[in-house]
Amino acid sequence: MGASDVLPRAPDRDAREQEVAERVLRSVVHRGLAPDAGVRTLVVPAGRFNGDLLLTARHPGGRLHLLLGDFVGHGLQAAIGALPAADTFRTMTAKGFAIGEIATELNAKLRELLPPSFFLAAALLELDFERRRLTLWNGGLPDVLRVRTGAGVVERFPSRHLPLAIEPPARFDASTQVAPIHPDDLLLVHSDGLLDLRAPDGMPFGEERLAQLVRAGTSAGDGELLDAIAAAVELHRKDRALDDDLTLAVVACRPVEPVEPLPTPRSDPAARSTALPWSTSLRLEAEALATLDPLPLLLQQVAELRGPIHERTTLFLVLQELWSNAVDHGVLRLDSHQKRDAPGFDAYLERRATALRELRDGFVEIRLRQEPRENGGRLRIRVEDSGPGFDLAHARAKESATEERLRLCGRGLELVRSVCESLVVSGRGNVIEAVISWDWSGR
Amino acid sequence: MSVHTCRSGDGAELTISVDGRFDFTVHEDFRLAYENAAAPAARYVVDLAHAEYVDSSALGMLLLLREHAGRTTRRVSIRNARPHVERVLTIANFHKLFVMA
Repeated sequence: MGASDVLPRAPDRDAREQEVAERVLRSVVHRGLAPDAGVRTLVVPAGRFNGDLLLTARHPGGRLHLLLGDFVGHGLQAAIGALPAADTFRTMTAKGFAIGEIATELNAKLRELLPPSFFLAAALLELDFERRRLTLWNGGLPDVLRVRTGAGVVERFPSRHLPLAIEPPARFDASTQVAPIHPDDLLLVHSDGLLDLRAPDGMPFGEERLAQLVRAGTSAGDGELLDAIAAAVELHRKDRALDDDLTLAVVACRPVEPVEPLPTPRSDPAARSTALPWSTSLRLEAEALATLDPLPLLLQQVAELRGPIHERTTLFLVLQELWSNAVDHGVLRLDSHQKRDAPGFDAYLERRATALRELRDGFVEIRLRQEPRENGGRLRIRVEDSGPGFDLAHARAKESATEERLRLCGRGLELVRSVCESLVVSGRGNVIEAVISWDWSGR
Repeated sequence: MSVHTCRSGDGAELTISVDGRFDFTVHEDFRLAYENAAAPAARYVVDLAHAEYVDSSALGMLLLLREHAGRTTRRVSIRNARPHVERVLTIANFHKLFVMA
């Protein structure tokens, strides 16, 4: 077969490959396309598929993770990257990893897989509704906006990093931006297709037009804002075809129950049997406290040991709160009263990061002990830290030590107490034990 | 042709200028501009004074040039980007990989 036989067919084959790639990619994108009730999306694909990717997933603690990505390249190249990206994002989120760690893994995996000219511009968001906190990593996407009723854009989170898949793992910067959120806030995340959208005369949509829409639209809620932007997009482009995909997500900061229920073992009789007795412990010393996140590991252990994984939201919440309480207030001795307003919150996070970096002494030890009981079980979560603890004698003079410590430590521990059978402070005020119990007989 | 090259007097620096749209359509010309050079250059300059538009595949091409130059930040610089082109480079944080001038 001569070259002349092959060449004329190439465009056909290219077109077919492109079609297959698009189908694969769209199925990946759509499978993850905003199943979450708190997220509304606008997706306007360009004729030529450029590979925007929008994924959402729920963390075991109920937090919402969202990834909006814009692949360079298109067709097959983008589809190849989308599959492992979606897989990594969903799996790591379900295991309880934080978004900085997910970004690190995505970067390493995609870089290994793809040619050097290829990258994924992406923003990863984590919304913690309980603690009213947004954690964000933005590498190569336009500013993520926090908007509020009547006020328009109240905060911008610009791209601070190179896109994913460019830097070697050793040079990757996983540092995140953290900010408090209010239940009435909305977050607006979009690919550059929106700002670059051209009118027939070549005029781009632009940041100012978007900011005006936000100012006008935020009085009416998230649905209305999205609809207003969608209408403005159509008005702007008229009949002109898009040069690039356009993807926009409006995320409510008010907690919304996930639409997809978290997996439960109810249908599995083995998992519903009486709990097995076991115990395990993990102790992290100073440098480890600054670098490791023990929660995904602990959750995994509880799952493997047939612990109360059907209560994963409760379990994660308790572990998370007791862990950060021990690190922040026990070992680092930070004062949580600082966190009350936004500037205080920033200052608090900065002090926390510095204190962790400079920490040379100290530990946190977590012990888990599971006990069987009739038709169920009980899990004791005991967390001890090396800090001076709370002054018990002083507290007893006023009210019970537990009450006092809980009052001082604020929302976090109150929340833990509300989901636990019991919560007890002991030692010199540096040991806290929470008990989660469950019973299958009523289910 | 919208991609031009120019060697410095001592031959150490190769300047690649891209005019008009810097996107996938100039992919081949851009690659040939440095691969066909008579001898490898010590430094590369990408002059975007006349580039009206860059898209993400242009950023990919810049990464390939950086790869070709040996991934050393100081060896590749990007010059004269217009404001909206510069905005694209800034959002991608390309100043971490290239000298912007």
